[in-house]
Amino acid sequence: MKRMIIALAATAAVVLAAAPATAQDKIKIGVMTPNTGPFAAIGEDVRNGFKLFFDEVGNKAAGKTIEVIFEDTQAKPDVGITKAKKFIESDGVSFVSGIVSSSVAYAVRDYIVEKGVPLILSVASADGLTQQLAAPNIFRTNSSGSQSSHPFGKWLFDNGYKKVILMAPGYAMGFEQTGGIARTFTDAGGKIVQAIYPPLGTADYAPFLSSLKVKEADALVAVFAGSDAIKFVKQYDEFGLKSSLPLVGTSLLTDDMILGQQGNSAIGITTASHYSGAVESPVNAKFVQAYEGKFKRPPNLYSEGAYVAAKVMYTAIEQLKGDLSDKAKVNKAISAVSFEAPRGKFRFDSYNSPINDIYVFKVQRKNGALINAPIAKIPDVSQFYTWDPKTYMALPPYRDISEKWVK
Amino acid sequence: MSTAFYTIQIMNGLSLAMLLFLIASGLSVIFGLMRIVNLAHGSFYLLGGYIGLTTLAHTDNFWLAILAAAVAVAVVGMLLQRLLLQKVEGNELGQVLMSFGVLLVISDFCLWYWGGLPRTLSRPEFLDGSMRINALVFPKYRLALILTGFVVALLIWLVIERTKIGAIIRAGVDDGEMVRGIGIDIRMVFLIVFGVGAALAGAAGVLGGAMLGIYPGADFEVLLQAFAVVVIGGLGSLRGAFVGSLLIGFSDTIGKALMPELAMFTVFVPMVAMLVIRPEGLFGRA
Repeated sequence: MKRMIIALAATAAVVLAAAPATAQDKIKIGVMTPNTGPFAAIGEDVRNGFKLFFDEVGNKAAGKTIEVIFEDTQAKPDVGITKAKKFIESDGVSFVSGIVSSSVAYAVRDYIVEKGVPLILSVASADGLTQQLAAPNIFRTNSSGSQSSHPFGKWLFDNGYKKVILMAPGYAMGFEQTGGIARTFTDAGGKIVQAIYPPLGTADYAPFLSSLKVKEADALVAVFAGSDAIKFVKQYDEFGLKSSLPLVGTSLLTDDMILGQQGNSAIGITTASHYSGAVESPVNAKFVQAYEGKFKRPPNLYSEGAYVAAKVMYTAIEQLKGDLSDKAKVNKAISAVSFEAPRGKFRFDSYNSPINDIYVFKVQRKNGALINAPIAKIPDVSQFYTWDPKTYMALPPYRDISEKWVK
Repeated sequence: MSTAFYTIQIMNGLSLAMLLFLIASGLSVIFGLMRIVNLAHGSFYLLGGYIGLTTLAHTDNFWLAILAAAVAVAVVGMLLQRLLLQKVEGNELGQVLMSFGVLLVISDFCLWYWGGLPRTLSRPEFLDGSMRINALVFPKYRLALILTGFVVALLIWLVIERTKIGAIIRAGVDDGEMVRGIGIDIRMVFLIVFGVGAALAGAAGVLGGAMLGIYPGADFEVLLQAFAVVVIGGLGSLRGAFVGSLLIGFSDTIGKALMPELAMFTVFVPMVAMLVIRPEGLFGRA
């Protein structure tokens, strides 16, 4: 009994001591990530990115203490809404960030827009969120679904590929990422000979792999993420296809974190995106070293996207000298943010999606470890590539034309 | 489509079928004997895969990994049967809910202990790479898996048909009370069968992990497919589990190859059709 009283007293003391540090001198940031389900590994990368940045600045911005609150969305839209409401209505956060699954992002979109609280998406890539459904308080720090694909389709054609097969999971992400490649590739004069969209989470790709029209194509354009990507790349190699049909895609296919699991099967795969740990810049060198030192694993495009999101919020807070009372002003300050990120120069376009360099990477073994080595760079690419935003958004969305590429 | 195409697809179907059989045979016999719909069977697969992963990391021995996974998962299965499921004997809803709870607990435990990153198990060196016969290219590992599946199926069949314990199991499936009535410790038989079923699923986790990888959510994936197998083959029938696995393996593979958009459809339509036309399954007894 005596011990219990002491414990209670101690708890009370702690609570009392913590109490004064609220309201004015504390800024809360709500970060939603999946801790469970198929995107659990990506959720970990995202949390690490936030932790690393805020630790680096001592959890302070403009003299105020930053408190990051993490919540698990389980990659489920309904859970996402519940957590967004908790953040805004009971925690009173000034920013909402994270979000891996595009379906969660779509689900919370209307609520967040109504509340005007800035939402900084660090992974969710569905094009619509910063195009037709763009809003002054929705931002994206990784890259839109087809952003890397547009320059890459052209690059493939210019580098000798004339006929390709498309293969990606049959939902928004797969359609957008392969569609972007198909559009610029066919515009340049290339031909799509086959398109296959296996369902998300397919356990065994063997039946699909065995029906590829290998002889009619120069390359297979494949986009898979997470556990799907590991299975796909390994099975592609097992069926002896690597030597007969080069594998290309976007960097989800070989992100730095899953490369180790894919092993030698991944060597030679060419992909495009805005980031890999092998991007050469002083900022990135520092980032990679700090990240590996802290978490004992390599950073990837997901953790970099989170790190950048954290820096975006931090820069805006500093700019406003910590005064976040006017949400419209906060949103304006965020859209004006620009800095050197690990990936290179970072800024937002007028729809709040990033403009940055896009790299073409090739998987290589260097000093014993597999890396995505940059082999080409296309500077200053926005989600609209060379189109005018209005013209681009008038084009049919990729999910509606996924079956029309094969001619 | 050429003969080569169909040969490869048939091999693909066979390799998936054999993996499914290892999982579904245990699920089916456990149900037939104890009337337990054990949803935690998916966890046995997941747990087996991860235990194999850890064993491989320490010993680099694939065979030891299979053994360790089978033994460890058998122990977990037997504890589950004795400490939890037996308490709700005869209460079907209670069993379903409890085993589902266990499934969630084990999947969270695996996530906590092994992390969310998808992993692959390295296979023995001589099974790496692929075989080439003319235009046919087929992974050696899958070929070995097909052979293993047939051997295991034969062994289980021999045990069930030709040994005393097999006779007791068959009798138990037909009429548990009668078996008890003639003085056989049916509880012990339950425990052994549960353990062996779990061990098979655990070993399948290692074998499947080396083919498809092991990751959070794999437990649900295999459970769903195993259920389709059991529904088609008939609950409690070993022959049903074997034929059901072949049917699901083939319909999944051929369906995906010919109509990729309908991939999920081709597995579950046969299951639904079977439930409507013959609810007891191909070899089950009403």
